Amino acid sequence: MLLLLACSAANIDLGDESGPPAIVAAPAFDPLSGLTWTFDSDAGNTARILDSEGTMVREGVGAPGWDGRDSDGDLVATGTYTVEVGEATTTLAVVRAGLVDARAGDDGGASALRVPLYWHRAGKAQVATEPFSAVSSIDRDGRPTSLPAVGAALGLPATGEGEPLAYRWDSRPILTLAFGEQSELGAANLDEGELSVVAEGWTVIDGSPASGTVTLQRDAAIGSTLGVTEETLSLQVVSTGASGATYPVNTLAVPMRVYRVLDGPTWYEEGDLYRPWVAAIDPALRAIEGTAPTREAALDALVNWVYEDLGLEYDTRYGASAYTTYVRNDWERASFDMSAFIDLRYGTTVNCTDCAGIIVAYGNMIGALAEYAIIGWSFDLNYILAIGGDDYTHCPFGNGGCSFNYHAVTVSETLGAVWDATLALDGDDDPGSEPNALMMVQAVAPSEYLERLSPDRTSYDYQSQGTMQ
Amino acid sequence: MITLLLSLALAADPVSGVRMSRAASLGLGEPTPILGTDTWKAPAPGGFATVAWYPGEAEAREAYAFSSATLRAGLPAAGVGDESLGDDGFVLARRGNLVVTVRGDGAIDRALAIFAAAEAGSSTEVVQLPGIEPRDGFGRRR
Repeated sequence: MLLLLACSAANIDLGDESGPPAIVAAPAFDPLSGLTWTFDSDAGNTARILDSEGTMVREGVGAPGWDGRDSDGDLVATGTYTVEVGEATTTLAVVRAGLVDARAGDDGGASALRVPLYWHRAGKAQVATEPFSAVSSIDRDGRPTSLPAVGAALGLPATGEGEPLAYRWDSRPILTLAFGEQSELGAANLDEGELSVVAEGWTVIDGSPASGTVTLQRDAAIGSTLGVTEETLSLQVVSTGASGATYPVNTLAVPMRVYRVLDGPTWYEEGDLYRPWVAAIDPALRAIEGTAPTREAALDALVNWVYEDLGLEYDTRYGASAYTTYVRNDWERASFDMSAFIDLRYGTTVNCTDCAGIIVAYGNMIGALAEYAIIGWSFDLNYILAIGGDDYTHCPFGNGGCSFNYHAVTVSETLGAVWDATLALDGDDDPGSEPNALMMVQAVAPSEYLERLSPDRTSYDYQSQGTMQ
Repeated sequence: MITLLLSLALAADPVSGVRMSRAASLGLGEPTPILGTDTWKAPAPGGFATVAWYPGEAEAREAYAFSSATLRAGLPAAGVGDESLGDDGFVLARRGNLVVTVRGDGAIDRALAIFAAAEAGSSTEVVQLPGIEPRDGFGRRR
C-alpha cells in the first residue's frame, strides 16, 4: 500500500524499475520548500536520513515528509543524503535553489535594447551601478535572503537594491539570474539535466541552476506602447527524475519594473548628465502610458501632460522663468533644472522657456528627439490660452500687456513641427478675434504656428537642445 | 597691511558675490549651483532667489540687460541696487557685478538683504559644463 505523506506536490517517480519503488522522492529538493515523498508502508512507517559519510542526521521521519532539518532542528547542509525506510534506500540531493542576483542585459538591440538609467541625476544623488551587490548568500542564518526587486524602488535606494530598468518598448528583456554561492547545486552531484528552470513566458537561453547562472529572455516584447510595465517573473526550479518526470524544487519570484522608452536618450551631448533618471521619467512615462511608440505621439502626449495635468500656471505678471537659465546670456544655452522641477522646488509659476525646457528634457530622456526654438522679437499676440489659465486672451499680462518679448517652443526639424506646452492657440479661421477654438500645440506646422500666435512678422531665430542639470 | 590690501580689493570690487553658505541666514532654502555659471539658486518663500556673480561690472550689466529682455515688457523700476525691475513680488536687480532675481513675497527686501550679504570674491565655484558648444539646428557643431 502506498502511503501518500504529503499532498502539495506529486513527487512520485516510478523510474524504470519493474515494480513500484519502496521510496519515491524527487532527486533534489530545497528544504525551505519542503520535501514530499512517498514510501511503501510495507517497508516501514518512518525514515532515517544519513549524510554522505553515513552519519544519521534524523530518524523517525514520517508524514508529511522530511523538512530538511536534523535532529536538533537545524537545516542540514546541502549535499547528498541517503533515505532509509526499513531495508529500502534511496539518495536525494539537498539544494538551496535561491537567487541572489538578477542582471538585466540586451543583445545590442537585435531583440532587446536596454537603456542605461540612473535613479537620479548623475552627481546629484547616488547612482546604483552594481545590481544587488549587498546580497551575497542565500544561506545566511540558514535562510535565503530575499531577492530584491529589479528596479522596484524609487527615490534613493540603498546599495544593493538593484538597478532601474529601461528597455526600448519593443524589446524582449534578458535576465541573467545567479543562484546562491552556498546553494552547492553542483556539489549535490546532480547532472545538468537533473535541475532546470521553467518560467512561463520566458525561455532559458543559457546556463542551468547547476552551473550557477541561468539566462532567460522574455518570449514576447515588453510592450507595444510607451509606459511602465510592472510584472513578476515567476520562476520554477524543477528536478527531473529517472523516468523523465519533473518535480518542483522551489518557486522564485523576480518582481520587475521596466520603463518602456522610445529609444535611448537623444541628447546631442553625451555623458552621465544626459542619462535618463527614474525620478524624472517615472512620472512622465506613467502619465503617457499607452502612447504609440513614435516621436510625434510621445511629444504630443508630453505636451498634454504638462499643459493639462501638472498644475503649472503661466507667469502672467512678470513672464519670468523659474527652472531655466540662459547660461552666459546665450539663447542657445538654456539650462533646464530638471532636479528642481521634479520637486517643483521653485513653485508652479512658469514661463515659455520653462515649458520648452520641460518638453525637450522629457522628450530627449525617453528617446523622442526634440529641440527648443526661440521666436522673436517683441511681437503682439493673437488669442491664446496660457497654461493654467481660464480664458483666452490676447493680453495675457493684463491691460497693455499684449505682447511677448520672445517666445520659446519645442520643435523637431526632421518632423517639421512645433509643440508648445505654454499655451493653446485659437484654432479657428480668425485667431486674432473671438470666439476661440481650443487648439493644443501638438505637431503644428511651424508656419501655421507663427500665423496663429501673432499678427506680427515673427521668425524662429535660435534652435538648440540646451543643457540640463 | 592686511587691512590695507582688503580695503584696496573692496575699492576695486565694491560688490562681489554672496556665498551659498549665507542662503539660510537670508531665509532661503538649500542652494544649488547652476552649471556653467558662477550662480546659485535657492528656494525662497513663494518662489526662489537667483544670485549671479560676474567678474566685471560690464559683464553684470550685460547679464542684467539679457535677463530683463526675457521678462514681460513694461515692468516698473523697483529701486533696488544700480538697476532693477519688478515689484514686491518679483525683482530683477543689479548692484555692481552682482545680479539678483527674487520671486516671492517681500522680494524687494530680500533682494536688498542679498546685496547686503555680498562679499569680495566669487559667490560659488563655477561648475563647468562639459563640451557645450553652439550647434546648428540638428546638433551639428558650428
